[in-house]
Amino acid sequence: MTDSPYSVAFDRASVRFPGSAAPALENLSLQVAAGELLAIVGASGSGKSTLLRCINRLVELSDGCISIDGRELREFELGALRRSIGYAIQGVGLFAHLTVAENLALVPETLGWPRKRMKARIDELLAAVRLEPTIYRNRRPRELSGGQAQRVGIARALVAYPRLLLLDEPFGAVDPILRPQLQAELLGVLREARTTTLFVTHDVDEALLLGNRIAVMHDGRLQAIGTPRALLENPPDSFTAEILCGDELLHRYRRARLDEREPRE
Amino acid sequence: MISAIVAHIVLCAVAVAIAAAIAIPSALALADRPRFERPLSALLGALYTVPSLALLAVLVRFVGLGDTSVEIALVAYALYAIFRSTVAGIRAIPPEEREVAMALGLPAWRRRLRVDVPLAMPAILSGLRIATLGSIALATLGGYVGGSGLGSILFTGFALQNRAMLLQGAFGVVALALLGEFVFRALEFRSLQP
Repeated sequence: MTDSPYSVAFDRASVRFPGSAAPALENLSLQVAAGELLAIVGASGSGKSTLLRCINRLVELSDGCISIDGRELREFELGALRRSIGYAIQGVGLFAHLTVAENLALVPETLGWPRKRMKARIDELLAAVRLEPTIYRNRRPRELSGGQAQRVGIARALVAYPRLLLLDEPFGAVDPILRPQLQAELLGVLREARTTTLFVTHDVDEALLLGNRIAVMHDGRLQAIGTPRALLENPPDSFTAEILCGDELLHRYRRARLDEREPRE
Repeated sequence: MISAIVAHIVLCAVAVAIAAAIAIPSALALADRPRFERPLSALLGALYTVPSLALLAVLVRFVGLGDTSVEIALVAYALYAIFRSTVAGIRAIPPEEREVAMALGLPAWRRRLRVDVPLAMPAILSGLRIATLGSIALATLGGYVGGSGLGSILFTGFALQNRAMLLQGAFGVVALALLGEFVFRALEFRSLQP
């Protein structure tokens, strides 16, 4: 039923926006393996959102190229490419005039799914993000709390079995008290979905919790990339050390949490 | 009197319907293509500024006296308000919403119908309201050229110096205008509640 997840490769990709001197993305090369979950961290303005938006071509590269499964992005038909990529962003993203189910149905409708399959899949996903379908199916976005709306956003990104998932600060607008629960839920949903995921966040602990690998962005460049353990134990440069490890106490805490998540042999 | 009111309503409703059928699809097609939208806008705007009596005079010359001339004039005047407000409504959609619709990979026409039109609906309705009120007023002038609406009563009353008839016609027009205003305001209000 599910098509195999995409692998993604950036090859010396650059983005320059007209009217701004510094490039938004500069000479960026990285590979994301099929099925991998790459967390991307960095300050605002570091290019992490631009990186995502290049992949579904909301932003076009000025230089270099991006390929998916070894094929260059431009070879894909744009609509089909976007329908095969799930995209969820911070805050809104849901259409206020459509119910939860109608929001989720937008892509399946376009793909021509039969009504029954559509309904079954929508209910399945709502249940997966812990929103009881019979209660939430026919609600409007304004009747949802921030956390509920975010879950619907993630469900919509997943509904058509995406081969790649792009999440841009999906918990950015969520109450910090709710975040750990949502993060744990997301991890479960993502394991279930078995798709390649690029996950942008400015929350380092979130990145350490969710990512198979972490990419650190700084001023449009890829500063460092590696597994959480490699980066935490041997940060390759002082900038990475500063944002990933923090002070002595935070560093110890983060390593302890990592040990909890992936015990050493 | 009743038949004149009905005729007035039919004249205006048909005109707004025809104008909407032309203006809304062209606005949806051209809203993102300023190169084509601007000349059409200018053309419709120019048409809109032609004095109504002059336009009616020209139409009578070519089409003859009667409702057909009035109908053509009404459509010509209604086009501009509907076209402009639809374009403005589409352009006023917040960029984030348009971007999400794009990122979902919806084909352009589906994006328009499922996302853009509902979001632009308050603006589209206000264009229809302005066009309707304009038509109700303008259709009265149709009485001059043999049109059947309330204008025929008003102008006959004027010609015969029959004050009762004159007032009937005038009040009829005002009442219709208020009714039109009320109906569209109610629709706009509803479209603002998602």
